[in-house]
This record gives sequence, structure tokens and C-alpha cells, in this order.
Amino acid sequence: MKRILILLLISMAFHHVTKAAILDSLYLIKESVTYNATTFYKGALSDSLQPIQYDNAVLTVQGSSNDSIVIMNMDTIDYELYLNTDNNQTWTITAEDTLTIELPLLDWGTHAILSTTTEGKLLGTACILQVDLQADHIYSWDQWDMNNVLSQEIAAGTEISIPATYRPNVFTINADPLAPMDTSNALIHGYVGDTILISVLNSGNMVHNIHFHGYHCTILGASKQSDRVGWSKDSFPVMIGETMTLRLVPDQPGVYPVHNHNLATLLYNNNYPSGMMTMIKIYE
Amino acid sequence: MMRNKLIIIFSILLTSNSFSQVQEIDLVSRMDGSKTLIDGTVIEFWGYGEDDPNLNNDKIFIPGPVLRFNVGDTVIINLTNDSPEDHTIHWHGLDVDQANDGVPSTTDAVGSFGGEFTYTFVCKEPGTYLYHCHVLTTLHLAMGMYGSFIIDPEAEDQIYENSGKFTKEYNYLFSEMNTSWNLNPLSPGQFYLYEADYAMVNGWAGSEIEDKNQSIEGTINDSIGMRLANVGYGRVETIFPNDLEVSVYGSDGREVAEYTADTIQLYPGERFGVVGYPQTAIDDSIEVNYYDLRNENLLYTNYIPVSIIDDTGLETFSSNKLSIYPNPFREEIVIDKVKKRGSASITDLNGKIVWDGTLEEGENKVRLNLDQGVYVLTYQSQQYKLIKH
Ligand SMILES: [Cu+2]
Ligand SMILES: [Cu+2]
Repeated sequence: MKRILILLLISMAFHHVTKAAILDSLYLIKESVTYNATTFYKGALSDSLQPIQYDNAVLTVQGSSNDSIVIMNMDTIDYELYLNTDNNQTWTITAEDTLTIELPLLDWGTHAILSTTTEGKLLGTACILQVDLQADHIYSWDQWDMNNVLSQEIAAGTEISIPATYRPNVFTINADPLAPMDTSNALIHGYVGDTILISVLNSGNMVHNIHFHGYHCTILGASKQSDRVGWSKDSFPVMIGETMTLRLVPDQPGVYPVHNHNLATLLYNNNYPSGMMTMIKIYE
Repeated sequence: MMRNKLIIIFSILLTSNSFSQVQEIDLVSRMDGSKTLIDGTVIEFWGYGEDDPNLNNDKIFIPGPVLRFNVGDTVIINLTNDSPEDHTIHWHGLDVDQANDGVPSTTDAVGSFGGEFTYTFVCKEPGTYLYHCHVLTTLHLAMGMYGSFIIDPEAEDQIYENSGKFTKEYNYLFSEMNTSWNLNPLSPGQFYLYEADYAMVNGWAGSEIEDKNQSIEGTINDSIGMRLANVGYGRVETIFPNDLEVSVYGSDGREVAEYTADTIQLYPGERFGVVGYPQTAIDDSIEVNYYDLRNENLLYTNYIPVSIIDDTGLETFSSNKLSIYPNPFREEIVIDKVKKRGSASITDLNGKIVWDGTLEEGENKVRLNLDQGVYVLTYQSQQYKLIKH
């Protein structure tokens, strides 16, 4: 009996040591980005400073472990961060400081770390957490909207909210306003019959939505629309701050667009198609 | 006599009532539409119409014609582009293959000044879909290039194969307009400044909705099937009358676990299949609110009148109007609430009589083998529009 107890204690200690790990070190940034001569400010929990990655990090997390993330605040202001699926889970990271945040046990699906601090909230500072996802291919789409002039005022601290006359002209997937291009990491590749999981985050300032050409997908998780879990859809909203997990099992080959069906978001510098559109490429 | 002759002629063209047929239709895309809004403003629009040079009816409408087929049908749609710009048709939600997807970068656009393209696909799942142009879509769709696409299940009078049974059917396509683009489509300005300032139900706004026979009429024993679709760029909210209990049976051409809803939110591109069950007599309306997604501002409100009478008790006072359903219809139309036996006729838009006969008091079922299009029923000097799909 005593021996079993000791073994149990040893195994628990062992369990703790091996499973809790530092997943990644991320940089909290607020930087100006220029695409095709238009400049806007973007916030991010970034994987890299050289070269700067403006898209938010996507981390693979084991839900059964209390993994940690090291965050280096490269900005000159303090940030408050929170978990989108548990508002009680908050972390404060002071200016130009480093903080190790320990994640709670997380349910299967997609979660995100977001910011309540004005700059982080409006400029889309976030980190996507993919918990226990298993599939042939796993992708993520992070939708964010902004007005380029407004973003400079937000970055300068002269504007602290989204005005009633908000007219966004920057629409990005994974921080890229040119997501239909082949260079975007939003593009999905797979074969007929594959299981493809897509994590979705709306880190923007308005409700977005997604329309699939070619396929319906199944909503496996939706942090603000639990009533729609299990639905097979081709068009659906993604609420502000929401994370969703989608399953796509393509039944035909081809190249198909996926895009926001608020068609005023398919633009950048008044060029169509840009903005919140990407492609699915499925091979035979 | 006239009727028999017509049946013989049309029986050759159509075999009635069986599923999984090959169905072929001709559509035209044009950019010379003109529409008077409810405040009298005349706007330009681009759109789709039925292409039938013999009847000279290749006129375009907002929205385009409702395209309606049976599950399993193989559909052949010949598009002729009679306009100065390229267009396509994207079959929204129908999951067709790349060659028929109507996206210019992955297939080809249908060229200006007479370009032609034939779309072919199989209608896989019953439900409600959309079609729209996918060339410079932000502008072309806003200009009016869209319509509804319905796939009927094998089960009669049902929205889906296993659910959504109705006795009356109404289909509502919600859309918006940025009138400054429609007043000046060649220089719309910066697209991100899109501002919807007009909104429609099946192309109609305000009092037109009632005038153009979009109102729901029935008795408390009816079940009111409704297909709701949003092709606008904002959120559409439908608020049902208190005494109309609404069950949702599906969305985007797929059944979902049934639930009841007093309000449905439709985000851009979404569709819902619902049935309303009147609990009492109703003299009310469905409120349709259109919101801007950027700031949740309410842009526009339309009302769909709902008139449900309680005919279970004593005779109720009601108008002399006939109740005609389903309308649009396919093979059979019910002409109901006939107060007094009398003769009636149905003519096409050229005035040619396609049916004449006698309506008995009460309910009359009339089978008609007609081409797709608009017809007029005349009874006791009143006229009623019939739409054949
Ligand atoms: Cu077009
Ligand atoms: Cu569409």
C-alpha cells in the first residue's frame, strides 16, 4: 500500500515535470506595416523580430498540461492580456518587461490570448492556441480590420476607441491584406478526402464572416456560438474576439476562394480581390 | 379545348413530377436595368433575366429570377452576356466544381457583348441557395446581380427531405443598395466607403412589399414555410410576430437540430429554412432590420405583413380576395377562398389565354403545364399575378 502511494507520488511529480513546458517565446509588438505604399499599425504576439512577423503566433497546446509562454513586451506601455474562453484568466505585462504566463488546462479546440489594453485590443494583438487538434492538415485564419489613418492615431495614443464613423480600409487574414496571393500562409492545401482543421480568430473590431466556395465545412467549436456547433455551413459569422474550429473534408479537387461575404472587405487600396479572401487548393 | 391543346404541347416539353431530370434554362446578364425606388428616385441596375428572344422578355430584375429545381436534377444554365462588361454566375452554397464556380480567376469570365457560357451541375442537397456575379463582386453584386436558387426535396411541400413541412410557402431574399453607386455605377469611388441606404425584400421596399403580394396570408391551421436569405453586406435581423411560433429546420442547404426562435440573425450569404406555426389570429408583420457591420447602426427596416385568420369558429369577415398558393408554383396551383362559383381565365403577359374554366366555391386545384414566367389570373374583374417556375 505504502509502495503504491510512493509510486503514485513519484509518477505525479514526473508527470508535472515532463508535461509542463515552455511552448514558445513571443514578442509583443506594435509596429507599422507597409503594403503597396499604404501604411498601417498592427499589434501582434509575434514569433520573430528579424524579420518582423506581423501575424499573431499560432501555438500547438496540449490541453492536459499547464504549459507556459514567455512574452517579451517590446512596447513602451503596459498590456493586459486575457484568455478569450475564460475572462477570469488575465495577465499584466509591464512595459519592456518579460513575463512567463502559465496556461490553465484547456478544452479541445481553438482558444486565443487577446488584449484588453486599447492598443492591443484595437490593433489585433493576439495569440492563437490550438489545443489537441489532430488532422491531416491544420491551418489558422486570423481576421482583423482597421482604418490605416485611425491605426496611427491609436498607436500614438491620440485615439482610444473605434469611432461611430469607423470606415475600415484594411482587412487582413493573418495580418496580410493580400491574402489571395500565393505568398499568404492563409492558403489551404490538401487532397480529396483529407481531414483539414482550420482555427479561426476574429481579432478585429467588427463581426466578420466566412463563405466557402466548393465545400461546406462543419463547425466543431465556436466560443460565442455554441448553438451552432455541429452545423454544416458554407457561410457563417465570426464574432468579435471569437475563436472557432472548422473541419473541412474536401470531396472534390479544385481551386476555390474562401472569403468574407461582406464584400466591402475584399479590398486593399481599392483593389479587388484583396483583403479577407484566400484560396483552398485541393488535389486529386 | 384550349386547355387540352396546351397540355399536349407542353407534355412534350415537360414530363411532370418525376425527379432527377435534366433541366435547361437560358439566362441573360445585362447592365441596362432601371428601377424606381419608393421615394421616386430612378436608379440604374445590373442583373439577370430570363433569355427568351421569342417572347422578347430578356428583361432584368432585382433580384434575378428565382431558379428552382428538384434534388437530383442536372441543371444546364446557358448564360448570354448582353452587356459591355464581363460577368459570371457563382452558385453560392451549391458546392459546384471549379469549372462551374463562376470565379474569373479560377475559371473564365463570360465576355462582354454576347459572350456565352454554359454552367452544368447536379442539385445535390435540398435547401436555399443564392447566385450572383463574381466579377469585381463588391460592385457587381451591389448593382443587383443576384437571385435565389431553391432545391426542393422529394417530399412534397417540405423545405428539407426530413423536415420543414408547410401548407404555405414564402421565400424572402433580403438585399441592400448603396444608391449612390446605382446612380453613378461608372464612378462608384472608393469601395470601402460603401454605404447601404436602401434595403429590400425580394427587391421591394416599404409599402411595395404588401403591394407586390409578398405578405403572408393564411389561417391558424396553416404552417408557413419560409426560406430566408441575406445577400447584402450587413446583418439582417428578422423579428417574428409573437403569435407566430417559428421553428428553424436548417441553414445553408443542410438540416440542423430543430429549435424555436423569435428572431433570426442572418449574416452575409447565410440562409435559413423555417416554418411558422400561428398560435392565434395574427394581424402583424415580420420586422426586418438591416444593420451595418462596422458599427451596428440600423440602416433600414422593412415590414412583411402577416395576416392569419381564425376560421375555426364562426364565419369571419374577410375580403373578397382570393388566396393563391403556392405562388410561385410548379405544376399545381391552389386557388382558394373563392366566395362564389364563377368563370376565370389565366393569360400570359402578351394577353394570350393559357387556361380558362370555372372556379367552384372554396378551394380549387388547377394543374397547369406552362413555361416558366409570369401569368395573370382574372376572376370577377380582379387580377392576380401567378409565377410559374
Ligand atoms: Cu458582373
Ligand atoms: Cu456568394
